[in-house]
Amino acid sequence: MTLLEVKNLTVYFKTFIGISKVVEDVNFTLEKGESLALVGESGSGKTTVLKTILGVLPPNAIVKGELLFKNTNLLSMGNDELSKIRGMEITYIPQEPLSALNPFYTIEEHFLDRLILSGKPKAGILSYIKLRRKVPSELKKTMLEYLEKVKIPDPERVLKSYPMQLSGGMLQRILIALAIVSNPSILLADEPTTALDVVTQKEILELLKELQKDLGLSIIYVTHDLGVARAIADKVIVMYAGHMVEEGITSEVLAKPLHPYTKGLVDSIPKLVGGGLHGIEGGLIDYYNPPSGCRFHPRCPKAMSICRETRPKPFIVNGRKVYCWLYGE
Amino acid sequence: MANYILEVKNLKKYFPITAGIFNRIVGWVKAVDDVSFSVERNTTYAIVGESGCGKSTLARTIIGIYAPTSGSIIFEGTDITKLSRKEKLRVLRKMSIVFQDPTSSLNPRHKVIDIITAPLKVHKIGSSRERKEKAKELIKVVELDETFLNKYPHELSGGQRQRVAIARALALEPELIILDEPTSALDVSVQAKILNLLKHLQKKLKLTYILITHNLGVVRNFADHVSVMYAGKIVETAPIDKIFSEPKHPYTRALIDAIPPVTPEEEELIKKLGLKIKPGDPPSLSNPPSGCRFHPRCPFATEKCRKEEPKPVVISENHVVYCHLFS
Repeated sequence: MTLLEVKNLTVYFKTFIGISKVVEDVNFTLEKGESLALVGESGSGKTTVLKTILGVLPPNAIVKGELLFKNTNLLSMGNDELSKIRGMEITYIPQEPLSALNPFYTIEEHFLDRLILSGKPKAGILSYIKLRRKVPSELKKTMLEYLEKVKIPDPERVLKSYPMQLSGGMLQRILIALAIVSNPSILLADEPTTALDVVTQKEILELLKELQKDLGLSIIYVTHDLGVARAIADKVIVMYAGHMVEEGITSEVLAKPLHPYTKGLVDSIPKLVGGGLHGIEGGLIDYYNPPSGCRFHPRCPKAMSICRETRPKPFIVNGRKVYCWLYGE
Repeated sequence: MANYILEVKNLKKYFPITAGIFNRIVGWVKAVDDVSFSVERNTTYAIVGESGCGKSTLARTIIGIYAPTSGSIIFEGTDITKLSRKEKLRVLRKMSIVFQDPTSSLNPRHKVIDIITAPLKVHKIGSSRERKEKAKELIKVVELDETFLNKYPHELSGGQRQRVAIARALALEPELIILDEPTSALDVSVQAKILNLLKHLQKKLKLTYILITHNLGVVRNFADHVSVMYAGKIVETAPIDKIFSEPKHPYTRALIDAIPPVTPEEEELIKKLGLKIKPGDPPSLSNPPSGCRFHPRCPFATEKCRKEEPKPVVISENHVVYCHLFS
């Protein structure tokens, strides 16, 4: 079952020096229970795609295209309708756990707010104040249940703690627990392990995979780390300068990249088996005045004249979508 | 006898924890605890570990930002911990450092030319015209052109900023450069270019590097020798090919296991060398576990590990492991 269908998504930003053409023509589908990784370097538009799905773009954004969630277009929805989906059906795990939680609130207070937001229990202002003063035991039981789901040791103590008293790995687990409280169908994750050490990162990735299986979650995972993408996602979309360049099964794409940019990216990673490093010449593009044709052509070692003129269509190569003229007729 | 440029012996750096209005010392954070290693000339020595293991404190103690609590730092035969302030400055001229985040290590209100010539000014070297010439030379060494000299850091990309930081580190013509996570703030394609530049400079200018990092992939492709640190102590030290063919210490193997592989070959290697450990966090440095500091998370821990601190065990030439399993 297709949960989310992104059709020709284009996101521009209007600024006082012109129009920044950040994301152009992004197309993909997300099935139920599937995990998808959006990878690319900083400034490639991957977080913008995520924010568009979540509906938290700044007011100067110009969005075109369609975002079909269970066959209704999220982009044409009003705020009231959207708030039934955002934070409920589609939830989000942020990058920096310490800055995502309020330093003045205990974990219990965060949980209480989240539970009230997701409608269990329903509370007005007066009953909210009452709840804040003393959390009833059945609510506490729900909190502990969710903390156990994300494998937090000693959950009773954690509920009474402030964010600064807990480690980064623990906070990230708590954010995951807060995200799954409303039984979402899609979890959006924006580099949730970048701020963590490798050993902790591995634990979080394993937890996410387990939850995905148990709860039937679909995950869109934004990362710049190809290894992390391979560990978490079945499918990967490689982005360069706001365009999709390659889409396919993660392990296949990384083992044998077809697009010159993907290849450059894979060759840039210092690998444990050695084999030297090759960077990609040049730097990121100017979004106000992007290159014509394929946006990668100024840095591409295999650029042809057609690359400068026309944007490549997606070509299907070995069951993979590659946006590159090298694979065209 | 190898030609060592730097020898660190039993180095300790403790930070006091104070309390009350009289700032009474109530405990110590043992950030670097009894660390010894030697760096050969013209090689790269890597120190890896997770955040909070004391690797950056070690780097900063070597270069004199922190005064060591005890132990000695022998640079080209002289113990710099025993020198007077004036003599120390002369020796420290031959060492420099490149910090992790070029955005915060470069003064945003200074132009690139002032940033690069700052070390020369501090040490009162050359006239202002000579310093300008030197800056022009240095900016070319890091593969940027002269127009960059009149720009401000915010006008540069992350990779270009790190190149400026490298140029500044080269200004005093040092022999030893400490690289404190030089590429962890950069994208991979830029990281590859910066690492290649550093390698090229090492050959050309006969430099010695100490690389502080958490990325084992970078270590594998850049360093000659490596020490793994855990909770303020070195747990294993070995030549690079040994650590990626026969890692001994359980923590080293756990670190390898945690890396998400990119290619099938890498996956195979990690499967062969890796070791799963109990989930948990590194211990607090103010109250480390007794005996071997890794024992609460180690799958092989015995009674002995809980009580006795492990002594160094020599596996082969230059390969030393601090673990009871091998004694």
